[in-house]
Amino acid sequence: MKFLGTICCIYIFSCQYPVDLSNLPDTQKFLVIDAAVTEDFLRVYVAYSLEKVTSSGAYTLPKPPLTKAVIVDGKGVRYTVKNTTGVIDTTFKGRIGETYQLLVEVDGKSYESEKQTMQACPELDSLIVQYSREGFRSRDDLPYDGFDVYALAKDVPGKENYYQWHWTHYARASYCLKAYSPAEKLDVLFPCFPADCWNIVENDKVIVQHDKLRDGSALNQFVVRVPYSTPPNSYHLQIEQRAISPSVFEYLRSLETQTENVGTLFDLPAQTRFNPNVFNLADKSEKLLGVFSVYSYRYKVVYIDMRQIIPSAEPKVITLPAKFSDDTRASAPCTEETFRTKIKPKGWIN
Amino acid sequence: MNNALHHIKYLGIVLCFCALESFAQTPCYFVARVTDAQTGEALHGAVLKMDGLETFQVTDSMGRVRMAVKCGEHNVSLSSLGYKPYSYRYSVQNDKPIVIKMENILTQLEEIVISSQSETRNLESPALGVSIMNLKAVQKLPPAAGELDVLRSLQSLPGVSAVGEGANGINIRGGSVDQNLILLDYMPIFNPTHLLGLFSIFPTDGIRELQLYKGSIPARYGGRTAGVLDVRLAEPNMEKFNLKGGIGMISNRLHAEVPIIQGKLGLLSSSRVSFNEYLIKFYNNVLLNSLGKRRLPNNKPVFFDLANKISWRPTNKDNISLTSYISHDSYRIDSLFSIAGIVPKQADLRYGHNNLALRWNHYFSPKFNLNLLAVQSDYKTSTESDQLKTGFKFDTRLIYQNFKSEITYSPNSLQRINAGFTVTRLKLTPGDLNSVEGSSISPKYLEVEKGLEAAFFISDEYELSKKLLAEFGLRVVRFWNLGPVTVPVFEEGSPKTPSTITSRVNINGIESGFNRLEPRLALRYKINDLSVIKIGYNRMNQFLHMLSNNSTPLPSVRWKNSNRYIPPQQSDLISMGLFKDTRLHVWEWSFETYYRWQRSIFDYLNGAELSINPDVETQLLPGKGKAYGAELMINKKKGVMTGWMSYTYARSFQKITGEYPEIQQLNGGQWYPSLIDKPHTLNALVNFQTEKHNAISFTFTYSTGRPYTAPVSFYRSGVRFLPIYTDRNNGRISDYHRLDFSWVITNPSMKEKRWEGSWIFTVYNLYGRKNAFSYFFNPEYTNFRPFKVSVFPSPIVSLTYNFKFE
Repeated sequence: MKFLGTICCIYIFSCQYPVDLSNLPDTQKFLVIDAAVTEDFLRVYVAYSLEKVTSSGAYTLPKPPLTKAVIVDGKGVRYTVKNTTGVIDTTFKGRIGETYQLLVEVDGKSYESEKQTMQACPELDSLIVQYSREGFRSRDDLPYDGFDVYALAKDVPGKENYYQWHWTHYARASYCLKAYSPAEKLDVLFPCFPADCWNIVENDKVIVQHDKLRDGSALNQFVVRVPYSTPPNSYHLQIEQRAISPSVFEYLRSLETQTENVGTLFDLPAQTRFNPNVFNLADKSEKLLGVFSVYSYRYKVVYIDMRQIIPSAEPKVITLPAKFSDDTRASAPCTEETFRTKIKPKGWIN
Repeated sequence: MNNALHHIKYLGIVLCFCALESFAQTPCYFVARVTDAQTGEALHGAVLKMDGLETFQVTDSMGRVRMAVKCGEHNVSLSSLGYKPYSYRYSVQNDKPIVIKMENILTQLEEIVISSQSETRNLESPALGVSIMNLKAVQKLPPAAGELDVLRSLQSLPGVSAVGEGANGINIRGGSVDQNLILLDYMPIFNPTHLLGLFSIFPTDGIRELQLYKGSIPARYGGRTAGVLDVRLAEPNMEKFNLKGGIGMISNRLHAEVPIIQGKLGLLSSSRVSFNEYLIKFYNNVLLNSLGKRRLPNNKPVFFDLANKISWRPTNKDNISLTSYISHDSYRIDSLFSIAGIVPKQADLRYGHNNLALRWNHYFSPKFNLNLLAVQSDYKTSTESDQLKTGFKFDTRLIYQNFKSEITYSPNSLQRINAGFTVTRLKLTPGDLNSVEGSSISPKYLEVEKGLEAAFFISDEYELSKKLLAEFGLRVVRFWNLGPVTVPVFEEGSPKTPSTITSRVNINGIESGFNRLEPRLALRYKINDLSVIKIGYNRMNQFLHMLSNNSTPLPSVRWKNSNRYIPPQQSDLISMGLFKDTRLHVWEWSFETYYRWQRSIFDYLNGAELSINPDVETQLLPGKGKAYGAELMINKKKGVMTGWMSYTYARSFQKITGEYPEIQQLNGGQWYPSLIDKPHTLNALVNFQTEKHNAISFTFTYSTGRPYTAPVSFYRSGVRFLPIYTDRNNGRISDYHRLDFSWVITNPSMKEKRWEGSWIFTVYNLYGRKNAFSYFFNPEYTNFRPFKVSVFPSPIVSLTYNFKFE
């Protein structure tokens, strides 16, 4: 049956093998300026690309550059950005219809973005959760049985609109550390302290859409497939719908092509889009990464019941990677990270 | 000027002298028509010799041959690829033609496996870069998964390559896949593969011969700039019924030839069907538990092809044939592509050809022949997604209609003229997007494109002297892109982008037209009876373009006519070759070198949207290309051990500057390797056949890895790290090599019966090398480590049973 497997594997992308990085070209250094302005917060990230990546995948983080950043609105009001490491600043609130520009000074060089206007985002009317079986997968694959989640909204008619969807899944963290216990002579798990601690999973694929084929009509977008599995028994999912600008859309589309088709015979050419809307004032040819995105967004939270009965399907049980430590007093701190938080998620129901 | 006139005068005198000398010494002509004894089909390329002398003549496409000899008795001998040598003593008194029937001997021990051309045809014809294979030669090559594959077999020839295993189509001397004209019994094929590129679509049992033109392309072919693959179906057997077929692991074949009126009317039908969907279901439902392995995903892969041919010979001078060809593929595939920004989770993909050709061949005299041909090729694709709320159906279609009239005139044994005209009508439906029930997608239809191509061609093959033979050719072609069509008007002095469109113009008549002249030249100089030097030059133009920026094109790829913004692609190829045969025709070797210039080729913008874009001109970046190389081939044609070895050095580069280099150029406006630049290729085949029931073959292939775009660093974007790409094709994947094995057991019972069976046992990729098709970085899987895609990563053992009933 190998021949059938061969035919099949081409389509399910399983004939993939890791290779080392020994014959990559010499590393080049680029500046990254990535910023977002929304109705709720501001986020600015300025850094250099990685300096060196070894064949094993180890890398060196570059030294953060000396940076000053300012947001200027359409009336000329300046807001000095407090930090440029990508941490969210909720003291800044953007306004729909207002225009913003980012000015950045990095290691003595001046950069500025094109002016971006915050567009109104249509309401995220509802979320549809639909069970399906992906028969083309192996029965053992986690997403074989699962729930497809769609976002439903209505496009604003009469003008070109561009949208992005983003999902975030919060689950209460059952442990915050897996470590070797000399007393028990094996790897064990340590619960979080405080106990109100959540793991975060976000989408790593770009989901964007324009309304060229559906001006003014319903916007229905497949967002994510959630595997039919437990724990948790009730799966929290937050879906965000953003109204973005054409230049941000084009930039995100280029990121999408980096993940679309990869690992198949129909790969698109790998490409990076430089300078979507931020430029070096003195040297417009300098290649910059990142984008200045000004958007408004609407969100909804949905809980998927993993205990529901689905004929001829059973939820897969996800087991813990080790047992908990026998020392019931032992715990690990819940620290704020990109994949963990102590802040209670929006719409969280215990 | 005087000097030039003097040279022309001198050349004229030489030509007259050569002709007169030849006529003065030859009061009689031996004239014959050579046919297949079983099918009555004319044999092209059979070699005629008289009295064991080294001088010879070769039959033309109608099987006719003419040789000047002294009147009286002569020993006539004929040989042809795959046929038993013919020898007879014949009294030549006048030029009355005789018919010689040659017996097909596919089971013969000593046979030619493959040839740059058959037997001594390579030394006789002025054409170079022409390869001919018959079905037997294809069968010698160990097939992948037991499927005989024409395109994969051709890749063993020097100068023919593919982007990788499983890629859709072949690349000839640095050309892209759409730059090859692929004909199946005169009908163009727009997608030559089944299973998205894994197997070629030709019905192998029905094939009589494959001719691959990668160098000298005769003037009768046009419309593509790289190569021509002319696959001819056999003529149906009009004498007796025969049936053959095969049961394989991927597909099953059945081929029948039925004489309807003895010697007058015959039918050929050749079909192939795959049952993979049912095999996968059977495996998952019945065998899975006993084997205890993983379930196989069911992509519902189904394909079939069916070729039918009816031939009618109302008189000895007429041959009328009607050929139809249908192919169909159907799969369910995972989110492999986006259409207008919609990436369906899964989609059903269907595509196929529906072709028809009517041909009338009339022999006015042994000197004059007329060939009329009417062809329609209809290629359709359909992609359908039933995804909730965003379901759609996307259809494309390409209709090609062609009429061709062609004469061949041989005024004497030194000259052969081929001339004719051809008219082609093209109708392209680039994309109809419809929503399915419950979907919010608005329908969108791209304008139908129409084109008309008219061409006149003439070629004159003339033996200037016993050593020097020349073929002059000229093709005069005119192409019109026709309305009704809406044409965008761009801001003057600005690049063509959606934002620089100032207005749109509706045109009902001719949108644009192009005149092109295509000179062709082939010269052969005979150093001695066994060695020749050849020089060739071609100019070719292409008015129909395939727009694809995938590594290998999807079946639903968009085709586009040339218009005011997309000029025809043009290629000039100059090639030179040295060919040598041995006295007993056991060994043959050839060395060819070439240089190719391409103009008006194009690459694509980053993130180009091609599928349903009405202004697709805005996504293209024009540029130019060049390719050069050298090909060496050594061929052992006879004996217990046969085979060949070829080495190719080939380079292919492109330079994409766009119309505004300062903002559009790729790779800094410098030459960079194209996707098919593989400098070194080595192919070898050894076939052992000690007796007629068993044959063992080994095939080895090696090539330098192809270029890919490698990242120059990584950066953090949100929660992931992304690779950074600057220049295109700046890296190279690992080298490719593979060893295959094949064992053919013919008629194991060793008894002469009407039913004869044979087994083909093959191991593809014997040592299981995980050859890379491409490298990629997937942020989903890992941050920095690249992965490779391997199409056939382990040995594939297969067994095919073939049968024959006569």
